Amino acid sequence: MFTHLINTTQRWDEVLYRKPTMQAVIIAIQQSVPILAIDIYCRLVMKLAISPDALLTNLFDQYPTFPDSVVDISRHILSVLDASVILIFIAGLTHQYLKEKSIQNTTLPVLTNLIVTYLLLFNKNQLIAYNAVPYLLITLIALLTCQTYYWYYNRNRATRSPYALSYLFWSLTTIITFGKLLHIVLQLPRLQSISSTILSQSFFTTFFGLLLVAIFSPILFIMGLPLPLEFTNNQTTLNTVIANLDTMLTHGLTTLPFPENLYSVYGSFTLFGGIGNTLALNVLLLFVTSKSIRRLGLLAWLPSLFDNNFLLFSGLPLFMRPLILVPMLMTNIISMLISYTAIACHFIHPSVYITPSNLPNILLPTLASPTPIQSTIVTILIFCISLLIYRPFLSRLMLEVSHEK
Amino acid sequence: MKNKIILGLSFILIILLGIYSQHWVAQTSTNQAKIQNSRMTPVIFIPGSSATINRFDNLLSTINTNGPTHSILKVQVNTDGKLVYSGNINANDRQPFIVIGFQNNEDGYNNIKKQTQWLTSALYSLQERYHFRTFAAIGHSNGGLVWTDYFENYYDSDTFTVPTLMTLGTPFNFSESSLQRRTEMLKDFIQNNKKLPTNLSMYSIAGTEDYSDDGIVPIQSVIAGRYIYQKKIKDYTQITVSGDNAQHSNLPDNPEVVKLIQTNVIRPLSQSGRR
Repeated sequence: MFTHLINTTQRWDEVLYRKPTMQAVIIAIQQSVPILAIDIYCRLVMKLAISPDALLTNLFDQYPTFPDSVVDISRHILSVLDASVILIFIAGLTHQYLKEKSIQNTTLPVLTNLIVTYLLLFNKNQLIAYNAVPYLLITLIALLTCQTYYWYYNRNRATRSPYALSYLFWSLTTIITFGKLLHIVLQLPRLQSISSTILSQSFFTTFFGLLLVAIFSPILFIMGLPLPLEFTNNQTTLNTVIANLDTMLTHGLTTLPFPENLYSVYGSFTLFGGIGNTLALNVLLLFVTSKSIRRLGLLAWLPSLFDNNFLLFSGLPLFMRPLILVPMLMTNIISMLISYTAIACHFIHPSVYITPSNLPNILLPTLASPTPIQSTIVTILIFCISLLIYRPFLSRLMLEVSHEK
Repeated sequence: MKNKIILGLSFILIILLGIYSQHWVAQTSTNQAKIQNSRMTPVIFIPGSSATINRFDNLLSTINTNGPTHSILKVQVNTDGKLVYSGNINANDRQPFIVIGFQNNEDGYNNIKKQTQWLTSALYSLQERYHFRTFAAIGHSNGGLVWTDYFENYYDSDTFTVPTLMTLGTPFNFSESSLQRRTEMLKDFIQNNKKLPTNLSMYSIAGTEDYSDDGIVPIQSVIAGRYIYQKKIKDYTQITVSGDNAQHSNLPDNPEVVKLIQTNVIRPLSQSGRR
């Protein structure tokens, strides 16, 4: 049964990833890995050492506080790096896709798509606050604009210059339609605040609510859709979590109003290394036979330890990948079931305490729960199960990689 | 082999982080529990410009003479941010009076902004020291402006709860006697009034010597407070006192004002502390 599932998933993966469009996406996303690595390591330094709520600042009283000017400059550098990652991906994708269509001079569509992406995702020279790049959205828009360019190119073959008035007209129309109008229509930050309001509902303290989150978070992540902040690390601001903490602080170890919630189940047991317990996947990557993948595993290891799995997302890549989505779904659902049962059966007391910002999530159950030993046992159990789930799927993925060689 | 070393080092790193974080979690939780369970609900006073931490001495002794005795703590915030404490809070006193004054007590909008930053750091230090969460705020003259700036720009409802604010002769439009001429400060306060805590009850007390001002502050400037607070908070009440001691500097000693403080600030706050 399990082998059948792996075989079927591998078939889907092969079918999807052999498509020329998908090949262009893979090449483009992997081209952005070097700049992404710089971005992610800078981000790591920021959250460990420089930002006002850096981990070291929280843990050590004597740790020096950086002046505001240093923090501001660091933030500015990070936003430039974020922009570079996205723009390099878009430039690569546009070029690759049109090259497949035998268009040699891709300068104008590349420039157009860069402007469209910039206008769509940036506001006042800053990337709109996301906790993940909305890869699906920008990929679809880039492919759509490329397709319109291809159609236009075929109609205007007689025009030699790639900067002829007719092409400039196409460029302007595309920029206005996708960059300006779509920016207004989509209002992405508003979508995130709506999702935060929804996740505050007490439905997400029930079994089905938590199961829904466990299922949806890997789907949104792998599909490259914008994620609600609460899906990655922001659960402690939810009313249900605050109510638990208040009860705990006032009445001590007593019955909590919402023992099973996004923080105690989803946040504590399914985010080791990022969405889908990808720290387990990263451990496996350190021991694969493919040298390049092992190198990726090494590069991604430290950010993964601090719950940033975007190097895996772009390097492996995980984007739209059935061979990763299926084990990630299984890991999330099983982790959720185990932790929910452990709380419901009173084997562990749920996570209630607030931990220092930017602490690795793998420590969260041990530190935030009043029953640290039992919570550590459940953490180790879930981590081992995650390793077991990812392993066979990763073996198949490695087969595909070796075929690609 | 290299990978096993990396895993081993990572394991050691995680253990070390766990040990240090455990200390942080224990300390933070104990602190939060003390604040959460604290029944202390102080009344915090801020004097106006040019006044020192002794500005409310007469008012506080009058209140203590007429009712139960409240201990008095005075805190001066120096320009380098250092806090100088005088007086003390009795261990059993649930409703102490705390006066926060500033070494740099000059007038002017820029200075008010600085004083608000000093106030914020003083409040955090006081909370860490005495573990209270709920307090009432009283500001005389520019002290009311400092509170307003604090509520709009620094107040965090997760950290503090403030049910009542009372301002005494606070010039929300500085010395302008016409509401048509709004100062930069008033414009800023009106612009940011969406950030005011919605559960706050505010009493703005004005004094009149001659129907137009209290000798220093034009009554129109005090009334301008309604453009900041009205309909943005739970209740906004404007009260005018006259007669003896209605002059600006004497307002805190005015018998009507003393009664208003007892009725609208001290009594409701002691009831909320008991709940």
